[in-house]
Amino acid sequence: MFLKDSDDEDEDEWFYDSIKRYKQLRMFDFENIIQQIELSDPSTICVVGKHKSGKHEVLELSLPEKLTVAPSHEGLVKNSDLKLKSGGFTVAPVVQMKVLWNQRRIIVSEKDQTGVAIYNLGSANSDLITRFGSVTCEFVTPLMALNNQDFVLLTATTQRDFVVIDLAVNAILYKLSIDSTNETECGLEPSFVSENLAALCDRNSGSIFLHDVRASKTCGNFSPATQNFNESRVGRKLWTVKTTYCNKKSLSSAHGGVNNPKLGIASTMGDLVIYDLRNTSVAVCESNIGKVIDIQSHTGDFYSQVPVINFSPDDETQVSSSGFDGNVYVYNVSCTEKFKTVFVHDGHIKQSDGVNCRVTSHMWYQENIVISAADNSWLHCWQFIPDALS
Amino acid sequence: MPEIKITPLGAGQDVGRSCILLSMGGKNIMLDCGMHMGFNDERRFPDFTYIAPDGPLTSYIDCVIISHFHLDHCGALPYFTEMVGYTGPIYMTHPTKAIAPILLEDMRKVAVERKGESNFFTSQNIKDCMKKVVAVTLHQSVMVDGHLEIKAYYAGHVLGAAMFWIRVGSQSVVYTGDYNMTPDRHLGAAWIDKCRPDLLISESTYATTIRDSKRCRERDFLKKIHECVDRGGKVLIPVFALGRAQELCILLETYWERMNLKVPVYFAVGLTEKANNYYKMFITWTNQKIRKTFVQRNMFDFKHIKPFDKAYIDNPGAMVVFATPGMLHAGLSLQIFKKWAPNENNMVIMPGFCVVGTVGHKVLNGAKKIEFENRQTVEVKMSVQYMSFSAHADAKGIMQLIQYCQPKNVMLVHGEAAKMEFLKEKIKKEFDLECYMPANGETCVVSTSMTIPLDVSLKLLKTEAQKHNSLPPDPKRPRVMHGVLVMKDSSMCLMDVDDACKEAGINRHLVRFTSTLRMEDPGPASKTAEKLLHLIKTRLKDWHVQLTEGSISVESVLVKVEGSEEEQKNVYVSWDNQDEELGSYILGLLKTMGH
Repeated sequence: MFLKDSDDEDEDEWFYDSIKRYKQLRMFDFENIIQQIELSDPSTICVVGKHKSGKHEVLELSLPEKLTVAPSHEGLVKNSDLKLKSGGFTVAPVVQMKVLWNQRRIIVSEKDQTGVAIYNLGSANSDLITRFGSVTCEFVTPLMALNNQDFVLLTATTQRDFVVIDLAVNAILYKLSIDSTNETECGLEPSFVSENLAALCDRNSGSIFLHDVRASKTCGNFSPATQNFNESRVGRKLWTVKTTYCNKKSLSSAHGGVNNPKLGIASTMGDLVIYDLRNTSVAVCESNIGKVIDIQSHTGDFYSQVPVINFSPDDETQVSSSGFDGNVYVYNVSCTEKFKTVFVHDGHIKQSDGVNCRVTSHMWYQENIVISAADNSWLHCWQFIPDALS
Repeated sequence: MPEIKITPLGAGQDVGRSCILLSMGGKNIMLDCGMHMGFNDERRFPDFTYIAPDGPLTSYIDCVIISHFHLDHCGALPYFTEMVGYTGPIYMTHPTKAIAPILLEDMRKVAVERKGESNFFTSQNIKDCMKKVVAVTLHQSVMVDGHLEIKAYYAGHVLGAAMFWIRVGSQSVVYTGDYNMTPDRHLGAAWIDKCRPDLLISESTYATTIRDSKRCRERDFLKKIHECVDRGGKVLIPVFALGRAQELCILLETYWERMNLKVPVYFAVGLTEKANNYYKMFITWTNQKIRKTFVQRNMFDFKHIKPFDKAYIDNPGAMVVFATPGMLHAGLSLQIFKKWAPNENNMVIMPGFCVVGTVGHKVLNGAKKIEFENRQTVEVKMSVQYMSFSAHADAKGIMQLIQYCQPKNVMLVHGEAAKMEFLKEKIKKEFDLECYMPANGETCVVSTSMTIPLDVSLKLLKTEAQKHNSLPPDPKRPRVMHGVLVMKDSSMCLMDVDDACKEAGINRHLVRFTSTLRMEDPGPASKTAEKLLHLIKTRLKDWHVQLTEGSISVESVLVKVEGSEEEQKNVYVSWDNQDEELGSYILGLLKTMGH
């Protein structure tokens, strides 16, 4: 037989197995580590990559036809590559990027910069992503959440203040504050639950404060019942939040997530709690995925410390999680009793030559297609086949 | 500033073929001579009239270099030599020279016999054309003439593909053709040394692509085949004898072995014989693994893949067949296709590009019914899968190549400038290099700095060293050195004046200028001399000024004051030809003193 190294054999094994586990699998070797991925239109993604020079570059990439065309047509297209549509360098390292849907613009929060900046994506005349302007606000490197009507909610990293800005007129509508329940002041992470309702998550405790942006007032709060969890694991933990509304731009129109929006919070100690906003007194699913992120070793931006979680745009009972290691996990969170792992994408580890790698970010595309990136510069687009017993 | 001029031939935005004119140091070189596969008329060939509207092209082009055997890089060569009349030298690697005529002939057959075209080159044309080709070896320096030198580097991509380094005088260019930076199952990755060319020319299409990994594309291939045979279907894979066939066979064999599959796999006889021969001939062009395997045994001696017999076409049950030709335009693959197409359980996998008009092309465009010359129609219900296995560099690959060879400028051809600004900025940021993007049919000029190497005589160097206390040369503080440039044959040497005179066989003559100034300055001549000394020293701080026996001297300039106490003083200023500037300056200076 053909002479092979044992490394090759291992890789080959994994690929042969993958034939049964994935419908589609695409892997891309980038020059830089991709840290964030956002969908900018039905067949395009924007990614933030950390360049060697320390600068961050934003790339607008067309997804390959093999991924975007209907399965029935997939055989007749041969393109499985990413095409660079436009690119540019940002003024300062990007901590968070969001896409302004349908405007060919992105809004970024940059390290040590006050307010947030808006960049134009490329046009017919130029493929450069250039800085357009900024949104003034006194917060340094704020965290952002957007709704469909161009409202941006910005929170400060270490205070309890937040502002709501109307991007259409580039004006601050109002500024408010959430009282702190702990001794230590710590920031809030914003996330829209529906068009007018935003959730502000306390990073230290996971408490959620609901805020109505139209009425400009807070209208409720709830906290995870952390007493039930892994008391043995003492130590500081950080929380992050995600909602089904975040997938509003997704291509699956099914489920109209707007009607019964769900919210999920996850902690660096592995907690994963899902709420249905119609009744926040009781969590739909309370679980612990059994993994831990060591906060000490990831000092730096908020997003490099907390896990990334996402709801599947096709099925709200599925939530994905990454950031704990080199894998992306998909869980069934329909209820606490049924909580289980539906799929584990371990492709990134296979490429890291024995060195531990970590998944930096991931996002759901459609129909069980997930796009994930790791700190070994690879980006994967994979369509998994869920376990038969879910 | 000496310039390098590049003109990609071809109008408008077409990217289907490569043919680039390179002008440097008075030489004109044609890089690749490709044919556009999408056109059926003259547009498929480059517009050679651009080079010389009328008259023989041979006098305009010093040589033609072909990077590899793909038709979009060599398809127009027979036309260029036999029908347009170029008779100059043509260079390509050995495998390219062996394989190109086979592809050209295949293509000619399709064009003429299947599509009934006229005014195409003939089989004899192809043979005659190839006779004019000079084959080159990797890393071997070839002097095309006294001034033009070329060298081929391994490019990966396909068997025999090369990147070419071209030098005229002190200017050099690297043309990449198609290359690949990651090794695959049968070829290695491109490699080049730190040759620091003035210009690196590459394709822009790759620069804006990020390629799906080879492994994933192979996975797709295996998955589709496995699923088809699992449901009892038959898989037809039309291939070119010298294309990806070997690679795909190896891939399938490995998978079949590992998964313990029993479904029969066949290859058409003749497919591998030819390929075997070429791979044996060019074994050094394949990668390490293949070489190791070949040493042990015949590369095509498979355990699971057997020679095909036409009788098997009607065998029931699942099977996989590799058959030629690759575009389903004739022969065995077409025969099999006609039989298997109407069954929806079956599958055809097209791993390559198909020329317009072939059945392969029709099928890839979704045709559900194909009509043949004899009124026979075939319904296409089988699954059609188009897959790309070509190994091309991508955005990351280009950056890697720039890092390897360290060019002074980069040029990306066949792209739109508006779509390349980001890459231009990236290259500038990362390497601080200019990136040019010429439009097809337009000439792009790159300025290069030319260095003229000179020999310097040892004597001169020693004198200079002595004068400046052996201080090493400092590019920020250039020092003046006097010498004579002697040109003998093609070498140039800077020599000491005396040596130069000896060399030329002439006597050295020295010219000395003397001027006399009259000054009114009562007092002893020595006092005047001191005043003058002081003035000169103040003005010429960096120079060595000294007073010896009543004469002030600075380099070869002498200032002597004569005259008695009451009289006018005569100041004699004299200097050597070499110190003309200094002498005039001092004279001028002293003149001002006199008033």
